[in-house]
Amino acid sequence: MENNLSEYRRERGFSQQALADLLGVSRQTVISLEKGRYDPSLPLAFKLSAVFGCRIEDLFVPGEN
Amino acid sequence: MDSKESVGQSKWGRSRFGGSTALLIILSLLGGLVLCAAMALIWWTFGPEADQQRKMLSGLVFALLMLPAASALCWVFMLDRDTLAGAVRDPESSIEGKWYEKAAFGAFHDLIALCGLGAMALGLLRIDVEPVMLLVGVVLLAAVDVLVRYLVIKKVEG
Repeated sequence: MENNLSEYRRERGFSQQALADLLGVSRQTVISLEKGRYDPSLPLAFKLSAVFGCRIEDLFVPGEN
Repeated sequence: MDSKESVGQSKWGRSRFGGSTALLIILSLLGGLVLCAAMALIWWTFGPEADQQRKMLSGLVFALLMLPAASALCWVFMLDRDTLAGAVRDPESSIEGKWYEKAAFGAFHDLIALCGLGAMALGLLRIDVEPVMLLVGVVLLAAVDVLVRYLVIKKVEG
């Protein structure tokens, strides 16, 4: 799964730690999400879309594989 | 993970039943003492005959050795994790939880394979192993397996 999380985060001026605090997860989780090494659970995806005020599909794009 | 202690949070947290951090630590130590006393009593009652002759000493050593672990266990049961500095609100959604799940899943299959092969080897070679030692070995193996797998996954995926 590919994502635009880092772009959205930078646009909003959040640090990784600030976003992690908003989501209630560890900073490592945000790092792994941005690198595409971790596909979030559905509840976490909904939290992300709520934080950024967009749809889940705007954040995550199915990868080629 | 929060880099700073938030309001109402502390390094050792507070009890889910209320009270200060100091109270939680005192209750944990007292709970640990009670648990140790109970275990020492069981040891005195059902322990090996040789130790019956040195009841007081063996019970005291046993209780002292178990006190840190028993107190830590009490602390874990009484702790309100929301009051612990650095604790994330949603650990299930964090990557660390995913790593642990993967490590535990892999270790479970390792244990099945190792216990199966071990049982076959012991049966074929007709080796008698003390059940207590065998169970302790399995528990240690499981713990080390999960730890090693977790660290490897963290290194690769972190």
